[in-house]
Amino acid sequence: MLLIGLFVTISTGCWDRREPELLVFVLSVGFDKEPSGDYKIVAQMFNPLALSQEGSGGGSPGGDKKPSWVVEASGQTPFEARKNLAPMVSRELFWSYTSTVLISEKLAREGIRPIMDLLERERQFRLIARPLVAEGDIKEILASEYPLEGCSGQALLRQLNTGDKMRSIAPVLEMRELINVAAQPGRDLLIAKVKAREVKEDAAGDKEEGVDKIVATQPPIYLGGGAAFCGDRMAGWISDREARGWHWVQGRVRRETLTLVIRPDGEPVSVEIFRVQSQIKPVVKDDQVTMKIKVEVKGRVQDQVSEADLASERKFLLSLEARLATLIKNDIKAALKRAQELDSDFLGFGNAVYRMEPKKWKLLESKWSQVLAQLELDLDVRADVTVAGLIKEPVKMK
Amino acid sequence: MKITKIANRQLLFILFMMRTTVTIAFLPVLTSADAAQDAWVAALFTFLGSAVIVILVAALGAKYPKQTIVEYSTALVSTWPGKVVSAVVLWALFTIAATDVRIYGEVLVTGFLVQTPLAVIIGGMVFVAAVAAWQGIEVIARVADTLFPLFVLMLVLSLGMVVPLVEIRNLQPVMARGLLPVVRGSITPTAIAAQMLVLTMLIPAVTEPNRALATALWALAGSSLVLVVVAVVTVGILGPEQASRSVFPFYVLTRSIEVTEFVQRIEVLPMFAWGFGLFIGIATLIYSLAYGLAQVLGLADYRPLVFPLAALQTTFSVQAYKDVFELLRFFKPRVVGPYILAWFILSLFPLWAAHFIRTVWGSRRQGGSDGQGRVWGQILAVFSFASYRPLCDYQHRLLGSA
Amino acid sequence: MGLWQQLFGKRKARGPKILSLADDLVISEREQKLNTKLSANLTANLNTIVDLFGNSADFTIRHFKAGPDQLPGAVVVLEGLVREDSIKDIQRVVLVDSLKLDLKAAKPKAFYQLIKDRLLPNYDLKELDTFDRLCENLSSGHKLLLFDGVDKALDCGVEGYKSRAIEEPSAETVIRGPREGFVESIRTNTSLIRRRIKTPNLWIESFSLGNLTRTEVNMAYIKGLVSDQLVAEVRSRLERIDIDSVLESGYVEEFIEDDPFTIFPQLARTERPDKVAAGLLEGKVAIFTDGTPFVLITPINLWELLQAPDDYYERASIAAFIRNLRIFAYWVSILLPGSYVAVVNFHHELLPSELALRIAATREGVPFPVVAEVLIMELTFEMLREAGIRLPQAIGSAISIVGALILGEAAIRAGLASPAVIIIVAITAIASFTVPAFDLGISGRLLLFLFIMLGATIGLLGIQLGLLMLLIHLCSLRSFGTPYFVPIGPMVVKDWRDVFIRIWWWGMLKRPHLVGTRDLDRESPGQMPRPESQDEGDDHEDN
Repeated sequence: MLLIGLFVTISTGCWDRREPELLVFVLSVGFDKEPSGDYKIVAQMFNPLALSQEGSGGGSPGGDKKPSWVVEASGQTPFEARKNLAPMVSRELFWSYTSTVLISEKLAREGIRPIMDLLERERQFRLIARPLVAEGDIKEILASEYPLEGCSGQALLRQLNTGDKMRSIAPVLEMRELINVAAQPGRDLLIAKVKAREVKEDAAGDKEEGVDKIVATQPPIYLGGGAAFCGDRMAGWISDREARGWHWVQGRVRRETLTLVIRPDGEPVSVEIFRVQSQIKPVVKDDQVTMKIKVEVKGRVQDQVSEADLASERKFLLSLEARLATLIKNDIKAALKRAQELDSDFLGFGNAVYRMEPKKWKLLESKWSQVLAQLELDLDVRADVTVAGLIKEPVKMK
Repeated sequence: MKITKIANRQLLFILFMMRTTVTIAFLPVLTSADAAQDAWVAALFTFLGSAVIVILVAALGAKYPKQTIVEYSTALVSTWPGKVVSAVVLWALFTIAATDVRIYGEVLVTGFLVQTPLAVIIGGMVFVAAVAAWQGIEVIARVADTLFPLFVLMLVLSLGMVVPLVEIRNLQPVMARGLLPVVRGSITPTAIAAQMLVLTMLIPAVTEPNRALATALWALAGSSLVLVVVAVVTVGILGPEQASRSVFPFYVLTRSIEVTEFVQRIEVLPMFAWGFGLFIGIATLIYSLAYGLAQVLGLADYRPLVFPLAALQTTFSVQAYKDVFELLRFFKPRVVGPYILAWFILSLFPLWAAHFIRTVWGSRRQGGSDGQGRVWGQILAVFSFASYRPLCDYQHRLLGSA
Repeated sequence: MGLWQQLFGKRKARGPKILSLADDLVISEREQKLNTKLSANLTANLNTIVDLFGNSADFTIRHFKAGPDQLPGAVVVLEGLVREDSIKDIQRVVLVDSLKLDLKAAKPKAFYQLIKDRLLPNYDLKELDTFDRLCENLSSGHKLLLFDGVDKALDCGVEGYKSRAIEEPSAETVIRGPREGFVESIRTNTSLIRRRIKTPNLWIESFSLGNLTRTEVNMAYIKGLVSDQLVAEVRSRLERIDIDSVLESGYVEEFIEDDPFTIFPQLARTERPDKVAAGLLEGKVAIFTDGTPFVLITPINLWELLQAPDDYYERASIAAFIRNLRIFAYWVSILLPGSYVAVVNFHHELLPSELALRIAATREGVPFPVVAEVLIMELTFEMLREAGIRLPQAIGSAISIVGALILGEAAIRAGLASPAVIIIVAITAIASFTVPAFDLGISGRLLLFLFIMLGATIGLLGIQLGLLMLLIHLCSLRSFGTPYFVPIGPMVVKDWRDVFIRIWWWGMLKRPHLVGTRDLDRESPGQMPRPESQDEGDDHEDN
């Protein structure tokens, strides 16, 4: 009995057993379209040797291993492209830890449904991956190096998380939310945008003496703005500010810093928003839809270039709050304007009608494009600056 | 056969886990029809429908607290019709067990063990359940006692961790398309409440058979609560469309969320809960099946039947459905509704009729012959067989083309 | 058919084992001798005894002539079982003191009677008249006095042979609690219990087991607390034992347990008198065996094996925490390596990403498959553990250094094992050492290998199926009629107060259910200590 058990367990005949060292984790994947119409896949693989050599001292082979390796392949479908990677890589690719999915602008403009289908259907992919639309060459983004992180796949994920937490200028969604949005009536996709920055080549001879020179490098990737879709095709880019408008409408702002000029001396003050609540209520009158959007914002003063004494002069504070509200309103208006330009309802106004007025939505659904073009906003923004930081007024220079 | 006793509490746990497992498995309120974001309303309807089934099953059993359906059906509608009734019930138990374990096998083959043959997974599960059934209902009940807290803990954990991600707007609009989709959504899960047919075998084993109905209803209420919560959470996170498209919504939900960088990939929790619940369900079903079959055949002990039945179960489970699509098609209300209705028409309706007539007859003239009541019972039974076709037609009309 | 028979048929019984006629005679002769009564002839008696003991080296006869009539007599003892000075004392009494008596030409019988009635008041006297009893008592260390012309032997009792002093049991140490442990002598052991439970209801029944060893086995219980059924059951199971020897309580245990093939101990064994006393007070039965400090307690359940005496002496909250820790550790020690193998081999996608990358990195360059690696490391650890037990304590610690430091470190350095596996093995080992009952801990370690195999065959499904099988087994086990997995399965929520927590002593109102205790009430309720009444308290405030 025991012998049989041992034999079964040790032998490799077991159906699903795979030794982890025969796998390579793909941390980030990019999809592009070849001019021929084939799908191109770019996989960024994690190199375990880069991690293991830290521990095992000097004896390990290979010396300085790069933390990741980027390989590309193409095929008629995304999955075939993925399979075509296999002949080029020594290990079995493993996709469960793929945390970011980059989509090239070209592919996005031609339709991303095939990609979404693959990601949702294939069991190895997780829907916690974040999709991004990349401006510029995907391979360059994936191959870029981050000094702080082991490899750029992880780095990208961290950057997304941090970016979403600190700023609200890129609509970072998980694949799960994205699929949900895509399926909802009256709502179009909005995917965050990443852009590869041109990295200046440093002179190669610097390392000669064994001392790394501290070189100020430009960060390789910028995260901000987004790609608005119409159906599964990308309609156009939206700017950081328009993306922020989307955040206000959705109430998704977690932390965002707004800088505004205030009255007495025309100098700026920075306010960090830390709480946002928003409510949308559609008012439908025949074909004319007005969106009543109520946004409540709480912020704190982070720094003050202006010398205004916010603590004692109530009117300064009120003006600050009023300006804050105006700024937010303008953001939302800008976003709507862009949505109307692109004919992409990424703000989800149609969905609001569907949810609140399901009966009227049935009438409007077919001509929503025209309705959207004439849609009006009724904004009610209430901004409160409640926290002043540790000091109540700027230092008085004598 | 030696009668072993289980407490009503243990019966409650067994029924609760059996019923909740279906919820975790494929959330039929959502996937079987087009209830979409109103799935939780369908869950409430399901509770009402299932309660009717439970009352049908348990109330009759409670009237014959010392007998299984095999015994009292013989008493009610004479020997051969009684055997037919028992055979239908046994067939129902057999089918339910096979289907339950097949769904479990499917999710493992889809999500975890892609290369492993279905028969190995199903065979393993059925074998373990058969071992428990061989040990008897007492052991099954004790294992249920042990697993119940774990089961609930796993459910609470997996639900609790994802609740913050629920977006209420995914549940809107509420009941926008009227009542019909909701009714359609509740038919399959109500039909699956035919699981409760195990009660026909278990009631004599319970210490307080008179309270078995209450026990079953409490189990039903508990599992319906879970059903509502799971429906709300699943739709609230995945969105109605994505959730309805999934084959195993709750599993998809747990694998596609990330609460924090460390709390992700928590699908093990519901999978283990599912496995535990399924085990209890299958073990109880196999036990009831073997016990009932032994009684029908007039055997002294049910044990020799357990492993042959388990082998049969495995084969049937693998062979009955060609692929996952066929399995899913079986759960369309249009298919499963009439099918399960047929079970009830062939088993419980005639028994109720006979019972009713008997009591009426018995009270009208005391000491009147049983024979006359039995004849009337048989006539009513034939009548209820005849009513099957119209009932199915009605159901189809109700369902439209769903 | 013939071939079939030859291949698979049972071999014909060879008939009874043939002994030589002479052997047969010797045996029957000896038996005859044992059953005969003593004769009035001293020399004949002594010859028979010498015959029976076969001139054993420790067999001693002291001849003397006592009384005015110079009546020949002898003291018979087995040397080493009896103190030298007590033999001398008897001789002095018989030889010297008898002269002081008013003995006038007494007949041997009368002389014997006098000595028995008047001269030996300090001794526990008994009269023996068969060689059977005589030999048994001699072997137990009794001193025998024989006189010519008397067909009886005077048994002068036993003073107890040398035994170990009572010391702290090394296998069951406690932080807080009594430091006494049982010893090899059964009377000392029962006395330790008597001293703790002073009710006359503490009854101790005696059995003599082992045809050759004649080991004394005692069954102790508290009459009135214990269920009569249980006592009857234990008694009948003990009486059924027919074996040549009982050297340790393990012999008894294997004869009386419910399920002989399980790896789970169904009787608790302990060296601690306080533990036995606590068991008796819950309505259980204790079985003492002479010659071993290990006492058996029955019936028990799995969770009691995970409890330590400290739990009842330490503060309740601390005890509750430690108890849960131990329960958790027990399951960890069974499931962890198997789950590791399952996850790393089958379910690579289940770990949080950072952790998965780390584990993948540690596996880099390890030449064995994961299962083999884990199995090898676990086996190595088992060997280390066993070696550590068998070696003297001083070397034992050296072994652990070799094992832990040198081997582990070298294995990782050489790339033969991954650090993750070393950590897993270490955690498992630590976890299994938290189990207070050694036999239960070892059962866990056996299961661990099973779970590694299951995990390596079909991944987590295997682990789950194995777990279910384990539960089925545990739920079907019984210890003297009590479900083994109580109070979890069957669920007795009231008894959870002494499983997952240890409720304060003033709250432990009831004895455990389902043991079959006749008297459930342990104490009167409402004894929670309360501070003095409020007004008094106010006086003390901030004076």
